[in-house]
Amino acid sequence: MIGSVEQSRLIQFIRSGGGLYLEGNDLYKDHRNTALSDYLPGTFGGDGRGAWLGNISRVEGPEGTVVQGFVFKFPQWGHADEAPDEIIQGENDTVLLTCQKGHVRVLATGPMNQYNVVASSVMFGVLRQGEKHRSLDTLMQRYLKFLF
Amino acid sequence: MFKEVLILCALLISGPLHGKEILLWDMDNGATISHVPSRRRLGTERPVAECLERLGHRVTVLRRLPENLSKYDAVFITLGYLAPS
Repeated sequence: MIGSVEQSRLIQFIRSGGGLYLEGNDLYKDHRNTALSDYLPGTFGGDGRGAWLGNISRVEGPEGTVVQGFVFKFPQWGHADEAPDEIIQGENDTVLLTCQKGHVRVLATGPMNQYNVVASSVMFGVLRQGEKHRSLDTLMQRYLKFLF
Repeated sequence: MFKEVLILCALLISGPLHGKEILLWDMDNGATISHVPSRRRLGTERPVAECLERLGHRVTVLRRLPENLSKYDAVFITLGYLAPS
Protein backbone atom coordinates (compact mmCIF):
# COMPACT_ATOMS: atom_id res chain seq x y z
CA MET A 1 0.00 0.00 0.00
CA ILE A 2 1.24 3.49 -0.82
CA GLY A 3 1.91 5.45 2.38
CA SER A 4 0.18 8.73 3.18
CA VAL A 5 3.31 10.84 2.61
CA GLU A 6 3.86 9.35 -0.84
CA GLN A 7 0.15 9.67 -1.64
CA SER A 8 0.31 13.39 -0.89
CA ARG A 9 3.32 13.71 -3.18
CA LEU A 10 1.53 11.86 -5.99
CA ILE A 11 -1.65 13.90 -5.56
CA GLN A 12 0.32 17.12 -5.81
CA PHE A 13 2.00 15.73 -8.92
CA ILE A 14 -1.22 14.87 -10.77
CA ARG A 15 -2.86 18.11 -9.66
CA SER A 16 0.06 19.83 -11.38
CA GLY A 17 -0.74 18.02 -14.63
CA GLY A 18 1.51 14.97 -14.32
CA GLY A 19 0.37 11.58 -15.60
CA LEU A 20 -0.02 8.66 -13.22
CA TYR A 21 -0.20 4.95 -14.05
CA LEU A 22 -0.72 2.41 -11.28
CA GLU A 23 -1.02 -1.36 -11.44
CA GLY A 24 -1.47 -3.99 -8.78
CA ASN A 25 -3.83 -6.85 -7.97
CA ASP A 26 -5.05 -5.10 -4.80
CA LEU A 27 -4.64 -1.51 -5.92
CA TYR A 28 -8.26 -0.57 -5.26
CA LYS A 29 -8.81 -2.73 -2.20
CA ASP A 30 -5.70 -1.44 -0.46
CA HIS A 31 -6.41 2.22 -1.18
CA ARG A 32 -10.10 2.37 -0.31
CA ASN A 33 -10.84 5.36 1.94
CA THR A 34 -7.42 6.88 1.40
CA ALA A 35 -6.68 10.31 -0.06
CA LEU A 36 -5.44 8.73 -3.28
CA SER A 37 -8.74 6.96 -3.94
CA ASP A 38 -10.36 10.33 -4.75
CA TYR A 39 -7.99 10.63 -7.72
CA LEU A 40 -8.27 7.09 -9.09
CA PRO A 41 -10.75 6.45 -11.88
CA GLY A 42 -13.64 4.31 -10.64
CA THR A 43 -13.97 2.54 -7.31
CA PHE A 44 -13.34 -0.84 -5.72
CA GLY A 45 -15.89 -3.38 -6.92
CA GLY A 46 -14.68 -6.66 -5.48
CA ASP A 47 -11.59 -8.59 -4.52
CA GLY A 48 -11.67 -11.38 -7.06
CA ARG A 49 -11.17 -15.01 -6.04
CA GLY A 50 -8.11 -16.95 -5.02
CA ALA A 51 -5.92 -17.93 -7.93
CA TRP A 52 -6.68 -21.64 -7.41
CA LEU A 53 -10.28 -20.92 -8.43
CA GLY A 54 -9.23 -18.86 -11.44
CA ASN A 55 -10.23 -15.32 -12.32
CA ILE A 56 -8.89 -14.05 -15.60
CA SER A 57 -8.01 -15.98 -18.75
CA ARG A 58 -8.31 -13.16 -21.24
CA VAL A 59 -8.59 -9.37 -21.32
CA GLU A 60 -9.96 -7.29 -24.15
CA GLY A 61 -10.68 -3.71 -25.15
CA PRO A 62 -14.36 -2.72 -25.19
CA GLU A 63 -16.13 -1.66 -28.38
CA GLY A 64 -16.15 2.04 -29.12
CA THR A 65 -12.88 2.74 -27.31
CA VAL A 66 -9.31 3.34 -28.50
CA VAL A 67 -8.54 -0.27 -27.61
CA GLN A 68 -11.48 -1.86 -29.42
CA GLY A 69 -10.40 -5.21 -30.84
CA PHE A 70 -7.40 -5.63 -28.55
CA VAL A 71 -7.31 -9.12 -27.02
CA PHE A 72 -4.59 -10.47 -24.74
CA LYS A 73 -4.19 -13.83 -23.02
CA PHE A 74 -3.71 -13.81 -19.25
CA PRO A 75 -1.99 -16.52 -17.15
CA GLN A 76 -4.92 -17.86 -15.15
CA TRP A 77 -4.29 -19.68 -11.82
CA GLY A 78 -0.81 -18.20 -11.31
CA HIS A 79 0.40 -15.41 -9.01
CA ALA A 80 -0.86 -12.83 -11.48
CA ASP A 81 -4.37 -14.23 -11.06
CA GLU A 82 -4.38 -13.94 -7.24
CA ALA A 83 -7.54 -11.99 -6.37
CA PRO A 84 -7.20 -9.14 -8.87
CA ASP A 85 -9.60 -6.34 -7.97
CA GLU A 86 -12.76 -5.75 -9.95
CA ILE A 87 -13.28 -2.05 -10.66
CA ILE A 88 -16.53 -0.08 -10.91
CA GLN A 89 -16.47 2.50 -13.69
CA GLY A 90 -17.25 6.08 -12.73
CA GLU A 91 -19.46 8.36 -14.81
CA ASN A 92 -16.63 10.02 -16.70
CA ASP A 93 -14.15 7.15 -16.85
CA THR A 94 -12.97 5.20 -19.87
CA VAL A 95 -12.76 1.41 -19.65
CA LEU A 96 -9.61 0.15 -21.34
CA LEU A 97 -9.65 -3.58 -20.56
CA THR A 98 -12.26 -5.99 -19.28
CA CYS A 99 -11.77 -9.68 -18.50
CA GLN A 100 -13.60 -12.52 -20.23
CA LYS A 101 -16.37 -12.23 -17.59
CA GLY A 102 -16.92 -8.56 -18.35
CA HIS A 103 -15.39 -7.22 -15.14
CA VAL A 104 -13.46 -3.96 -15.57
CA ARG A 105 -9.73 -4.43 -15.01
CA VAL A 106 -8.11 -1.30 -16.48
CA LEU A 107 -9.70 2.12 -16.25
CA ALA A 108 -8.62 5.61 -17.28
CA THR A 109 -9.91 9.01 -16.32
CA GLY A 110 -12.16 10.23 -19.09
CA PRO A 111 -12.09 13.44 -21.10
CA MET A 112 -14.32 15.24 -18.57
CA ASN A 113 -11.85 14.52 -15.78
CA GLN A 114 -9.12 17.06 -15.13
CA TYR A 115 -6.51 14.50 -14.06
CA ASN A 116 -4.48 12.04 -16.16
CA VAL A 117 -4.63 8.67 -14.45
CA VAL A 118 -4.70 5.05 -15.66
CA ALA A 119 -5.26 2.36 -13.04
CA SER A 120 -5.06 -1.39 -13.52
CA SER A 121 -5.67 -4.49 -11.43
CA VAL A 122 -3.81 -6.61 -13.99
CA MET A 123 -0.05 -6.49 -14.39
CA PHE A 124 1.01 -5.30 -17.82
CA GLY A 125 4.02 -7.62 -17.94
CA VAL A 126 2.02 -10.85 -17.85
CA LEU A 127 -0.23 -10.07 -20.81
CA ARG A 128 0.35 -12.21 -23.89
CA GLN A 129 -0.45 -11.38 -27.44
CA GLY A 130 -3.81 -12.87 -28.38
CA GLU A 131 -5.46 -13.85 -31.60
CA LYS A 132 -5.94 -10.25 -32.70
CA HIS A 133 -2.16 -9.75 -32.89
CA ARG A 134 -2.14 -6.37 -31.21
CA SER A 135 1.22 -5.83 -29.57
CA LEU A 136 1.80 -4.78 -25.98
CA ASP A 137 3.65 -1.74 -27.31
CA THR A 138 0.46 -0.62 -29.05
CA LEU A 139 -1.52 -1.16 -25.85
CA MET A 140 0.99 0.96 -23.92
CA GLN A 141 0.73 3.68 -26.56
CA ARG A 142 -3.02 3.75 -25.96
CA TYR A 143 -2.48 4.00 -22.19
CA LEU A 144 -0.07 6.89 -22.72
CA LYS A 145 -2.73 8.88 -24.58
CA PHE A 146 -4.49 9.23 -21.22
CA LEU A 147 -1.35 10.35 -19.39
CA PHE A 148 0.11 13.10 -21.58
CA MET B 1 20.58 9.98 -51.20
CA PHE B 2 19.82 13.55 -50.13
CA LYS B 3 16.25 12.55 -49.28
CA GLU B 4 17.49 9.64 -47.15
CA VAL B 5 19.85 11.94 -45.25
CA LEU B 6 16.96 14.35 -44.63
CA ILE B 7 14.75 11.54 -43.29
CA LEU B 8 17.57 10.30 -41.05
CA CYS B 9 18.11 13.81 -39.69
CA ALA B 10 14.38 14.20 -39.07
CA LEU B 11 14.30 10.91 -37.13
CA LEU B 12 17.35 11.86 -35.07
CA ILE B 13 15.87 15.23 -34.21
CA SER B 14 12.30 14.09 -33.59
CA GLY B 15 13.16 11.05 -31.41
CA PRO B 16 14.27 12.85 -28.25
CA LEU B 17 11.58 15.50 -28.63
CA HIS B 18 8.85 12.87 -28.44
CA GLY B 19 10.44 11.04 -25.54
CA LYS B 20 8.97 11.77 -22.11
CA GLU B 21 10.67 11.64 -18.74
CA ILE B 22 9.09 8.81 -16.79
CA LEU B 23 9.68 7.67 -13.24
CA LEU B 24 8.87 4.02 -12.59
CA TRP B 25 8.43 3.35 -8.88
CA ASP B 26 9.16 -0.33 -8.31
CA MET B 27 6.95 -1.12 -5.35
CA ASP B 28 6.19 -4.78 -5.98
CA ASN B 29 7.93 -6.03 -2.82
CA GLY B 30 10.23 -8.27 -4.84
CA ALA B 31 7.46 -10.02 -6.76
CA THR B 32 8.49 -11.67 -10.01
CA ILE B 33 6.54 -12.81 -13.02
CA SER B 34 7.23 -15.35 -15.72
CA HIS B 35 8.07 -13.39 -18.84
CA VAL B 36 7.32 -15.80 -21.67
CA PRO B 37 8.96 -13.87 -24.56
CA SER B 38 12.33 -13.79 -22.80
CA ARG B 39 11.83 -17.06 -20.85
CA ARG B 40 12.99 -15.31 -17.68
CA ARG B 41 11.51 -14.44 -14.33
CA LEU B 42 11.48 -10.69 -14.01
CA GLY B 43 10.39 -8.06 -11.54
CA THR B 44 6.92 -6.85 -12.47
CA GLU B 45 8.38 -3.44 -13.35
CA ARG B 46 10.82 -4.76 -15.95
CA PRO B 47 8.44 -5.41 -18.90
CA VAL B 48 6.80 -2.02 -18.28
CA ALA B 49 10.16 -0.23 -18.30
CA GLU B 50 11.37 -2.08 -21.39
CA CYS B 51 8.16 -1.28 -23.27
CA LEU B 52 8.36 2.43 -22.41
CA GLU B 53 11.99 2.51 -23.53
CA ARG B 54 11.11 0.79 -26.81
CA LEU B 55 8.58 3.58 -27.36
CA GLY B 56 11.34 6.16 -27.00
CA HIS B 57 10.80 7.38 -23.46
CA ARG B 58 13.44 7.88 -20.79
CA VAL B 59 12.69 5.70 -17.79
CA THR B 60 14.17 5.95 -14.31
CA VAL B 61 13.41 2.96 -12.07
CA LEU B 62 13.56 3.62 -8.33
CA ARG B 63 12.49 1.73 -5.22
CA ARG B 64 11.67 4.91 -3.32
CA LEU B 65 9.50 7.79 -4.42
CA PRO B 66 11.63 10.95 -4.65
CA GLU B 67 10.42 14.05 -2.83
CA ASN B 68 10.59 16.13 -5.97
CA LEU B 69 8.66 14.77 -8.96
CA SER B 70 8.68 17.97 -11.00
CA LYS B 71 11.20 16.71 -13.57
CA TYR B 72 8.93 13.85 -14.62
CA ASP B 73 6.09 13.89 -17.12
CA ALA B 74 4.57 10.74 -15.68
CA VAL B 75 4.96 8.39 -12.74
CA PHE B 76 4.35 4.67 -13.17
CA ILE B 77 3.84 2.51 -10.08
CA THR B 78 4.03 -1.29 -10.14
CA LEU B 79 2.53 -2.75 -6.97
CA GLY B 80 2.59 -6.34 -8.17
CA TYR B 81 0.66 -8.99 -6.27
CA LEU B 82 2.66 -8.83 -3.01
CA ALA B 83 2.65 -5.11 -2.27
CA PRO B 84 3.30 -4.46 1.44
CA SER B 85 0.21 -3.32 3.36
